[in-house]
Amino acid sequence: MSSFTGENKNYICYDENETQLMNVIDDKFRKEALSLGAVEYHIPAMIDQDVLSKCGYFSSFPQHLTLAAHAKRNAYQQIAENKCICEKTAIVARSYFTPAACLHIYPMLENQDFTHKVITTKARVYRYENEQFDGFTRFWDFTVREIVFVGNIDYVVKCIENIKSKTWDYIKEIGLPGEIHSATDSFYPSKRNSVKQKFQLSNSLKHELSVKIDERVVAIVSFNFHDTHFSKPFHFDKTGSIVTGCVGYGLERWVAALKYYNIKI
Amino acid sequence: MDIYEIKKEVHDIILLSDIISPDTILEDDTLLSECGLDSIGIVELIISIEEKYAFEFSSNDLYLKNFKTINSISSLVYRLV
Repeated sequence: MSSFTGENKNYICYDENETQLMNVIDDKFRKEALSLGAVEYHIPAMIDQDVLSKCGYFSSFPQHLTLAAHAKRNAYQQIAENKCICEKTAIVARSYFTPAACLHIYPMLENQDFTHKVITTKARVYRYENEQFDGFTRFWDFTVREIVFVGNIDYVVKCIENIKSKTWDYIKEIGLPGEIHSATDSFYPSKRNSVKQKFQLSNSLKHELSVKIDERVVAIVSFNFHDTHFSKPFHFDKTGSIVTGCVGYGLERWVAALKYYNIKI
Repeated sequence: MDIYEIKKEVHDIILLSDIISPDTILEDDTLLSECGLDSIGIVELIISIEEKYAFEFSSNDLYLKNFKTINSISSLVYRLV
């Protein structure tokens, strides 16, 4: 294996073989999305504070956020001498590193009028997870193939079930042992978030497809129903019936799982 | 506390919680989803009810079907208070 993880094991670089493996996996799910009528969007690494705020991210997952900063204008000499930027020589921006690919999609739909839509994108996302990085399945910087469904409840639920079933068939076909189970988001602990978590679990609003790697349960896909959480604040719920859902494939985790089980695709 | 009192209080909580339009006419069997109550609103409603009656719902209480009407919510609260 010639992949390289950073000093803190919080990111991974792949050689040509692993890159090809990641591309094959990504292409598989990109094509599944396109077969469901998806259009492709491109999104950047950074995201504005205002968008995160409108998505409710600060009250739900502040622990995941990564803030962008840049060098102070009068500190270049000091930075050159110290060979680093530190708190004294940095200015924080109102920009963050995107913690979830779908968050960029909703502002793009703002005030639009449609009955249904499927969007897919491949994106780098950034989540700080209590320094629990392992250089194999958990990174600060990772890659996701995201599919977002927009439409009425029946349409979105049907799309999520459809892609869940196709993904399940695929892991059976390649012989990857996994299971689909109810899950909750890792909300910041607060009274409101505790209720959200219980409500999410009780009503099966989130599922994950997980595999066992080194005795740890690792989610490689998440299936999420958001109801009007995004369509309301971004005003693409003009008829009062538009909801959203998304499915995210964690590509580094797929690579890890396939390598762990020595599965060639 | 009897069920009728709870129904009245639940009715008031819903209208005062800013989760549906305050001028909505609500009967005990009105489908709240048809008045604009979505999952975000239900979470707010759950928090308001827990604060009002000083208890916590368990995960088993929080099925969507329990939050369809004032009747269903009140039956749940009546069981727990």
